[in-house]
Amino acid sequence: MQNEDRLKLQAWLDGELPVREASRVSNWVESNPEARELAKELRNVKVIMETGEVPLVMEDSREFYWNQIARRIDATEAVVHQPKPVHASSWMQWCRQWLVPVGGLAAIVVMISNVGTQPGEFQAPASDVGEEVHPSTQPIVAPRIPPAIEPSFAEPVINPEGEVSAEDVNVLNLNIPTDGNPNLQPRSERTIPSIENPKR
Amino acid sequence: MPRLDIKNASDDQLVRAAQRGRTEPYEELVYRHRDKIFARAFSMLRNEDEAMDLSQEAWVKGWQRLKQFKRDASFTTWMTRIVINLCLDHLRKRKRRATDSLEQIEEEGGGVERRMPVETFNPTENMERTELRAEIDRAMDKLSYEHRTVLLLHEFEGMEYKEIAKSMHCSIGTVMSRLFYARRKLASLLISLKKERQR
Repeated sequence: MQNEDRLKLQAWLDGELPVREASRVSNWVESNPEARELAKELRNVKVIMETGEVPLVMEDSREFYWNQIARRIDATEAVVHQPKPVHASSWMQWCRQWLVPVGGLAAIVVMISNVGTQPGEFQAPASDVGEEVHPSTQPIVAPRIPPAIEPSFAEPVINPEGEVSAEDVNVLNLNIPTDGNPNLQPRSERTIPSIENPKR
Repeated sequence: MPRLDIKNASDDQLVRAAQRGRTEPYEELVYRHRDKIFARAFSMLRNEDEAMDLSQEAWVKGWQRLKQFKRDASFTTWMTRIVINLCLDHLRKRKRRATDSLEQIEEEGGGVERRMPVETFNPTENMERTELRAEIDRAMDKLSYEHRTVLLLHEFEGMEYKEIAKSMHCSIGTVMSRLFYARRKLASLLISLKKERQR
């Protein structure tokens, strides 16, 4: 007998087969002694199992058992009702992502532009100071803006041989304390050891 | 609203009251059905402490999900399904930790049941009901948890192949072969127990 036939026989006993299939298996069991024997064994087990299980009775008192369950319920509900961490809304996240950096950048730009302007450079006209201004009667006077100072660079002094004088070249030769560090010595005093001849 | 007589109320009335958040009706339901729920956990786990722990866990889950209970089945059936699922999860975790015995591996592979001789006489004839139940319990104890579970879900809970397959996360074919093996093994175990008694 094939394993598939055995399982089909069992499904027939359990009422799990469709009507047409069940009738086919029923005929097969009637005509096949091996199938009949197996069906008898399986049916016996089913009948035995109908006797049921050994009944179990708990010895704990009602109060004791319920208190244990109630404590567990309280514990799980305490976990459920714990305040959740506040998550920023998507709008707040967008603000943090874009507005804060852009705002910071704008603040830096404003600061830089203010640094370039000398304090007191723009002065109100003398007539405006301490006087009451009536917008309806006084004509709007544009504040006087002093002309921008053109930057002026001193031309380096070039000698007749086309060389620039030492004072003009040595503009970065500042008096920085070197603390004996050769790397901080003025360039003219530094010696770079030769790779080919280290003794030099 | 008339006051509910908890002691004499039906399960359905208690469930409705508990669904409104009252704990006293739920306590009564626990008291009425705790033995059955514990018995199902014990029959699956075969360990008293684990059965006690998981049956209490089932009551906690029952309380948490009570509002989802649509009352389309009885309250005990619904609670039994909860404890069965908890036990199955627990057994899966336990099995992952344990190493399968050679016998169990052979059982899982199938084929052993085909070599068993067919037992046509009833080994439990003329036995008292209580005695017979104890004998079945002893035989069930010797089955692997997969075979025992399939057998008790089918025979004691009246679950169909499809439902068992869904609960046990396996195919219907696996359920059928496990059930076939479990029945044949149980028949052979009951005969061995009878022979032991006659000695």
